[in-house]
Amino acid sequence: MHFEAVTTRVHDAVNWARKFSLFQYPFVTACCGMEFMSVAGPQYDIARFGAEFPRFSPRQADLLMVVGTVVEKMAPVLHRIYEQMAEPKWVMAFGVCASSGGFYQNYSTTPGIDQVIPVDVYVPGCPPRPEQVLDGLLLLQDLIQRGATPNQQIMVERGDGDLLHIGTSRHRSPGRDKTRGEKP
Amino acid sequence: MSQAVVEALRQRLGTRLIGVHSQFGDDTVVIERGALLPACRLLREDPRLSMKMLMDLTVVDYLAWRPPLDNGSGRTEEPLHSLASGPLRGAADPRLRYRLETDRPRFEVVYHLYSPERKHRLRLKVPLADVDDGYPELDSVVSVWRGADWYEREAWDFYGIVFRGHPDLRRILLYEEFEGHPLRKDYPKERRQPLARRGGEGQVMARNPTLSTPQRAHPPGNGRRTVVLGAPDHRAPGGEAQAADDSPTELLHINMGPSHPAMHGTVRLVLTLEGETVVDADVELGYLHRGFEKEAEAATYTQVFPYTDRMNYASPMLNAIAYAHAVEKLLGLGRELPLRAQYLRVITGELSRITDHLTCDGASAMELGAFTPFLWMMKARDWIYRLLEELTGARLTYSWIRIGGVASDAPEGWTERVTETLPRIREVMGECRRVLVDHRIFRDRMEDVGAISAEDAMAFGFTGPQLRSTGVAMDVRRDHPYLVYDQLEFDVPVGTTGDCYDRFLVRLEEIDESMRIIEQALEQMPPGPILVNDPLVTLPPKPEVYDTIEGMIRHFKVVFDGIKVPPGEAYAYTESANGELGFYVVADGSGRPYKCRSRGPSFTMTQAIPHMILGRQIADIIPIFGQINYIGGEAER
Repeated sequence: MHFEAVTTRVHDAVNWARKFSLFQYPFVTACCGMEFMSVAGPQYDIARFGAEFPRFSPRQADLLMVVGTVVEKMAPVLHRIYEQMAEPKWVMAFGVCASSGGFYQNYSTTPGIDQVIPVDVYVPGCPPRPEQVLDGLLLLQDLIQRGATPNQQIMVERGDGDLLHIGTSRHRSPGRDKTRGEKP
Repeated sequence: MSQAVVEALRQRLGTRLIGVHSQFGDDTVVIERGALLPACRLLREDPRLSMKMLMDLTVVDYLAWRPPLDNGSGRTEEPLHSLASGPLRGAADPRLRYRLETDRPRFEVVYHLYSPERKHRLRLKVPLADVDDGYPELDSVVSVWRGADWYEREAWDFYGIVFRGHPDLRRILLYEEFEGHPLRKDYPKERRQPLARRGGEGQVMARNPTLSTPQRAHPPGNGRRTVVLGAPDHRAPGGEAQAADDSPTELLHINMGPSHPAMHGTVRLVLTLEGETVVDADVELGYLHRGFEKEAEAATYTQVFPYTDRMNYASPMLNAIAYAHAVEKLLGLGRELPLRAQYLRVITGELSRITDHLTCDGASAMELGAFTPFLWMMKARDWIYRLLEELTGARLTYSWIRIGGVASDAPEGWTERVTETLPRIREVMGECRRVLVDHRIFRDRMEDVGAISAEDAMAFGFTGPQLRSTGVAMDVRRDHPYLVYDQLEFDVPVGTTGDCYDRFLVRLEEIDESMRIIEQALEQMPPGPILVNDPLVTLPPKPEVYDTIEGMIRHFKVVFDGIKVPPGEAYAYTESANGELGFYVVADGSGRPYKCRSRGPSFTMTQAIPHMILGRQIADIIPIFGQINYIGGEAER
């Protein structure tokens, strides 16, 4: 009982730290990139929400922002980038193209990135207004605080990434590979 | 068309010249396919013609409809309205195919040529019958215009036309696994051929795409060891098997992109390096090919506007203006547009040009480490976004241009707010100039980097700031004025060396010129209507729709059937922020375009990147790529 209370507190603290230090990897493909620039720029300034620093390597990022249309030729690339990110990791579908393909429904476009990778937050709009993106970010932060995103839950289930267990062998459970998908 | 052109062609080609006609001011010559190379050589070399530039090359697939014959034979055919707009449209109906192919070839390869000296344009068409194996052949014109290289690859990719003598004919925008040619009328619009999909239980089934191999790379067995980095599934020709350890140099293959921090835009460069020096490069695109043409063929003429807005997303308004220009040409509306609408188009277009140049120059500076000017330029860009939002309701994707005018008039006080904003932008630009123009590091990175001669630039099909930086003062707004540009005074800034620094400066100057244009246009803009009053083209005013049955019917017809554009074809050209943006629209008499091709200026310019970086260091790719201003939506459509 006592032990559980402590771990809950630790989880809260860890999640609080996580939600305010989101390092984003902007996977910018199309028009939404213009609005991504505005979100990052001085007028809207995403830095105020603890997601300041774009990391241009997926290995250093927690939040994959898929900004713009993903076409079938790009889908394997996106998948590989997602695979390269360290856990816990989150994905934001920025704009309708990333969410569902938008009004591009043809031989070339992927109907939403969730056909390829799991998504935590969908931000609609073509392109979304910067305020909408910030709203999506706050939603994601809320989910992270509650530990409610699928990736966090998977980590908890297999006892992985839990600060109390670092140093033990439990976070090297064989379940890891099952959720990571096939190696390309 | 001057008689001299026709005479010269007739002398050279004889009976292989099938027809000559002119429609909407577009001069067209139809030739037999065997006469293509002699005709092209003549058009380029003859000083009377001097067609130095291949502006566009595309194919039309006349499977579902054939244009009425009007080339002097006296025969006219009814357009197959019922077939063209009915459920058979785009479907592979064998009866249709049989009827069409008995007397008319299925494909037409269309070349748009331009002579920068004589300011003369010509459309060259080659009818091409379908063959049994489905891959008709035609001579390649790469030996005449270097810029034809990618256009022909694109035509192969989308239409399955084989260009004999092409140096490297492989798919360009799609991937090798793709089966079929999607812009043929018998390819269903939504037949996807995925490379990666999530299966059950979160598993991802991903096939790795075959990454096409650079064809011009050094042949194996030349004593050099090849090391492959970046793409483990990508094997360079020769591979490790050819290793010779005693070699003095090592060639390194490096994969840059398609998601690379310093490359805005989704392009992949496969570089062959000797130390830091680039000895070979191959550009792979198609990571943002969104099927604009297929979407446009399924949309009504008005529904195409949202797609055009998303092509060059750094300056959406200019794309919509260019597209409207083409459809208005087909409708014969060109000069009838209300004056106020023309001025509004000029003002918003030039505002968009400023945002494009701010984005391009700002991002270029940022990629070279100058982050502050980038933020300043983004600040200025946001002011323009707010102005345009006030006018159109959207920050970026406006859908505000209409066939025959614009959607809404300027709100009260808008023109004053534009006038107030311009000096603030000038101030910001002054600061940016102070920081960048004489900055030693910035100049070292930009000067003499990526220089290209005017001759080469024209052969590659350069237009816009990129061509003007080489000293060629070519600007569609001045050479072939459209809208009210002939009423406005502006200069065409040119460079001298054609390097990245010149391109950067030309863009900075053009921002000033655009502001000059806007100020004059605001002063000259008359009051009046903003849409043509043509019941077949524009929507009636709302009170009429709600109160009268005629208004209701008119509204319904225009929205559901689309604007009925009479059969014909037109190529309309405008000056977008990146160069000549042309739309080639083929109308079949229905409410939807039969073909809607866009000539995005950055597509053909990107193929010059290997030419510009050979022998240079890998770091030089960043400014070169930035200043070519490759915009995925515009280049790959």
